[in-house]
Amino acid sequence: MGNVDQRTGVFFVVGFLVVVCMLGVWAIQWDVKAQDVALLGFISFSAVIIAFAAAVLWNIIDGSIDLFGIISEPDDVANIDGKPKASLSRFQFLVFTFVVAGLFLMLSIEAGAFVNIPNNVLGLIGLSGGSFIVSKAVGPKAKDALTEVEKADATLKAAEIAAKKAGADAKTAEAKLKKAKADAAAAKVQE
Amino acid sequence: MSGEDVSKIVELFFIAWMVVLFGFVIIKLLRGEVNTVGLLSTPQNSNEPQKLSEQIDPERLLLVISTIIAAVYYIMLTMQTTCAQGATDCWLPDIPNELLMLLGGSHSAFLTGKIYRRS
Repeated sequence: MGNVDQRTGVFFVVGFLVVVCMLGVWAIQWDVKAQDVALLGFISFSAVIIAFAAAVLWNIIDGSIDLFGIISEPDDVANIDGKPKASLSRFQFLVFTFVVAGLFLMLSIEAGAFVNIPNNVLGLIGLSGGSFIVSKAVGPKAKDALTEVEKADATLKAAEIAAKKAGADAKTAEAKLKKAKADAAAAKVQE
Repeated sequence: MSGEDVSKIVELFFIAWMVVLFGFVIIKLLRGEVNTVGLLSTPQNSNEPQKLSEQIDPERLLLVISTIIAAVYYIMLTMQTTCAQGATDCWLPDIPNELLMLLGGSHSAFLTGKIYRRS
């Protein structure tokens, strides 16, 4: 199996080099200009990025990327009736990301260049991010939750040990009782 | 096909992509397919972290409202102030200090409430 994968990889690399060499020969033969090569490169890179974007979108529509927990806390930090608790900071982050990213894209397309982002806008996103971090710091931590689970485990184990010990003690007491009864019976017989 | 044509196609694709992505998230949010349990309320007490309070926390509601106001206001501000004079000189508008203070105050209230309820 490993050999087949390795062979496929070698074929792929060799094939790729052959295609690149053929393109080079074709470019020299037909005296292709630098602008045409740049255009070809631009189209190729755009196609790759578009493919990435389309794959993400398709996976979201398909359900492979689940958006259920997009504004939720991690499951081990907060859990309400089997569902993770929604986070207000994450919700705000989502809204501001939509607004700033959407407007930035639109204006950049309209202007034909990246537009400047004012400091106050960065401050707005920073405020949101700062609040997110502080709320994580003061909120319940996964470590605390784990500690609680560990404590519960330790209590359960201690209870099991105590129960076993109590069971053993009960058996010992029963044996002692039987022995005492037997002794008493033997004493009566002797009398 | 020139470089300009290609860039127009790419631009259109990314606008469509962003609109579909944002629209899809919002539709899922409205249909309840995105988890919003406990967005506006916190657990009743620290002894029962899995049981939500039936009451809405005012500081959370304030933060949600101020977030939506800030987002809508910024979109309107951008539409009014940029690119109207000419497409070659566009910029993202600065956010007024008052709006930043409103959001800062809401965040402070939210964090104070969170700390208070936890203690």
